[in-house]
Amino acid sequence: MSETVISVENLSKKFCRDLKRSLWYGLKDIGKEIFALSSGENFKLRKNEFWALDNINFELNRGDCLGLIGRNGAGKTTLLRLLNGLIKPDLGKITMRGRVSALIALGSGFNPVLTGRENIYINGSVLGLTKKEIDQKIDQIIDFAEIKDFIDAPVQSYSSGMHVKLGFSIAAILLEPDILLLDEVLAVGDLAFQNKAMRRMNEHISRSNALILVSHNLDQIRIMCNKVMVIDNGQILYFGDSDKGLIEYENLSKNHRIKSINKDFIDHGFFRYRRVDGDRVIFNDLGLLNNQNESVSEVKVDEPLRVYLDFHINEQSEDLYFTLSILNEKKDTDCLWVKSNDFNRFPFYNVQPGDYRVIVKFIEHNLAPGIYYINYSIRNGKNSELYDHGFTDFAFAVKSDQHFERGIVHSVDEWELTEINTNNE
Amino acid sequence: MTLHETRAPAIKTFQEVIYTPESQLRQPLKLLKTMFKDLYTGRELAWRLTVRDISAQYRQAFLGIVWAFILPLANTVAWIFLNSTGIVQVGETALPYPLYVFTGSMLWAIFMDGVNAPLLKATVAKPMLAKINFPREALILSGIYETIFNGLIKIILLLLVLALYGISPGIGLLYFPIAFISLVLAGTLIGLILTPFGLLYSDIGKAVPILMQFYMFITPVVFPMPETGWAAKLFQLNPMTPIILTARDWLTGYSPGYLNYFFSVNLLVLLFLFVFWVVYKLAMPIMIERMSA
Repeated sequence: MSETVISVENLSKKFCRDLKRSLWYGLKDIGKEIFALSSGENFKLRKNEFWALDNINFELNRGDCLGLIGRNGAGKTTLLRLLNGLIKPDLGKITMRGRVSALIALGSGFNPVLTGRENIYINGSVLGLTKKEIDQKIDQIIDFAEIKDFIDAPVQSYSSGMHVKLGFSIAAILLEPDILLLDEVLAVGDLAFQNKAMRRMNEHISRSNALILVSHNLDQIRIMCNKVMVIDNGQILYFGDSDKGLIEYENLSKNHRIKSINKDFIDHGFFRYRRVDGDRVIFNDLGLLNNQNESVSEVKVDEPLRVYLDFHINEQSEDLYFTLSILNEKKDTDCLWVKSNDFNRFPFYNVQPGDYRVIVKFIEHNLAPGIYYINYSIRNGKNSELYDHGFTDFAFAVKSDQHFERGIVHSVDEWELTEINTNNE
Repeated sequence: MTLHETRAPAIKTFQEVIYTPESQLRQPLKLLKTMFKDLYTGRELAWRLTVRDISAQYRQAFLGIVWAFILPLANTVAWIFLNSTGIVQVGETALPYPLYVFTGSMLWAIFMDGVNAPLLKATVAKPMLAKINFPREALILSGIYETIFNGLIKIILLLLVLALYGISPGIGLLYFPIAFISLVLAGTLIGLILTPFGLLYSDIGKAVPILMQFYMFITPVVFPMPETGWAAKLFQLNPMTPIILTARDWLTGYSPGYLNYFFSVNLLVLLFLFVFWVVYKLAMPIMIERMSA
């Protein structure tokens, strides 16, 4: 039977965007708390307030390791602060079973004038340990932090690397929590130190009952966590199995990127660069089509990619010659591929004046999950005269729901491991 | 491999903590229990913080402990000057005026240290408060410890100066610690009242020194007690009056004239310290919410 260690029910928390007003609300809230006026539940948003967390429900069982991911400002840190009891919920209920420790503020309470050794005692006390407990472990901390020679020097003489190493070591060695909250703390120091930190954390995980990890390092989350929660705008978008969660998150960030790019081109225009010669052929629009011929801005890795280009032609053309090219998100590389209706493959001869749509279907586009841009050119195939040529800001996303993939090229792969027998005569 | 496959099934009874929006006052017994538990577990942290702040303060200061009494000393010199030149006419005091003003300034400075400590400690600890769940009582306690430490330096200097003038506190020295602690606690009380608001609004921290300067003039610190008129009423109503007078009397060998008043004020101070400790406890999560993470 699995035992629930953390249980969160209908949890909501409001924040205020305006500082002056926020302070005033703070004052009012203190009054409410002191006179215990209501049940304390705050359903209504006051002016300039928004839900930083909105109706969060989840449970963690003994042994769970949860990766918390979301964009900046999604509500991850707020959730951790609520779980840690630093701030109060506005609605809902949190039940924590066990001693909670948070590795969040490394080196909190460090005084720069005092020595490393003195600061270990101070930091240890802040984390709730007695002098005796610190005495027992101080050598281990100094050893872990790799700052033996500097331990009796004032902390202000430390490099920033030494500073965080010491902060991490104190917390990592001293804390023995049942529930551990980690907020972006594993990326500390050089590689050797990071690996050591990782090992230490895994020891912790095997001893503690539950762990919540906030990190932007998705690989780390994939390896360490068995569950993932994706938060966006204060709401849980996904909670469950970690592999699926990471794909969910990747897709979410692509949606946001696409949205902001598309907003950009509404604000700043569709073209980054365009050359047009007269009005013989006029470009109207381009985009992606799904199977139902609806205009979309995403495609799956294993789906055909269908690009359309709408144009108007005023004079009859003996030979229309199109080129489409795809660029990656940074737009800093060469085209990932360039395609055209080569002279003999798909010729468009003697096109009469009117409105037209060209549809190109890439049966296997081979693009890895990511964001891409489309550029086009329209020419006369007979003499290579250029009618219209544009670098657009139309972006589309390639998504995967299979597994995590990076790079720019999609491929299907298989792996195997064999031992090389060198004694084979 | 997920971690739960590797875990040995530990059987322990876990403390259960529940967070809800409900005011903690609705469960007063539970609140009381946490308050005293936190005070107890916070005492070692308070001690550490005190040692940290005192040693950092003196390690970085060339003048060292002189800073503990330089302000009241300057105040004393100013008032002796004003009085001796006749710019300000101060009434008759039983003690020689320089001693009167010196004891008054020193005792007042102890009180002021107490007033400033809670907000100062909480402000400095903001980053810690925003991120770590440590017993918040430790900050108050550490403020009290530091006020006592700096106060003791002042008292030693006071006793030396009094001895130079041939004044001995006599039996009063035995009682003086009561007055000393009541100075510290009365100051802490005012500081504690201001802390929740001072953490939200920086105006509080700026206004306190100015207001306290005025407050000093209606307390027998540099002026003796007026005999008649509305000023006399004001001095008498002021709860700091019996504390300052009693402390000075015990220190200089006089028998205190306001002993009953002194003890009633102290009872009230203790009562209100408890009340505003509750307020501080309740307000803390709300103030932290308004600080940056």
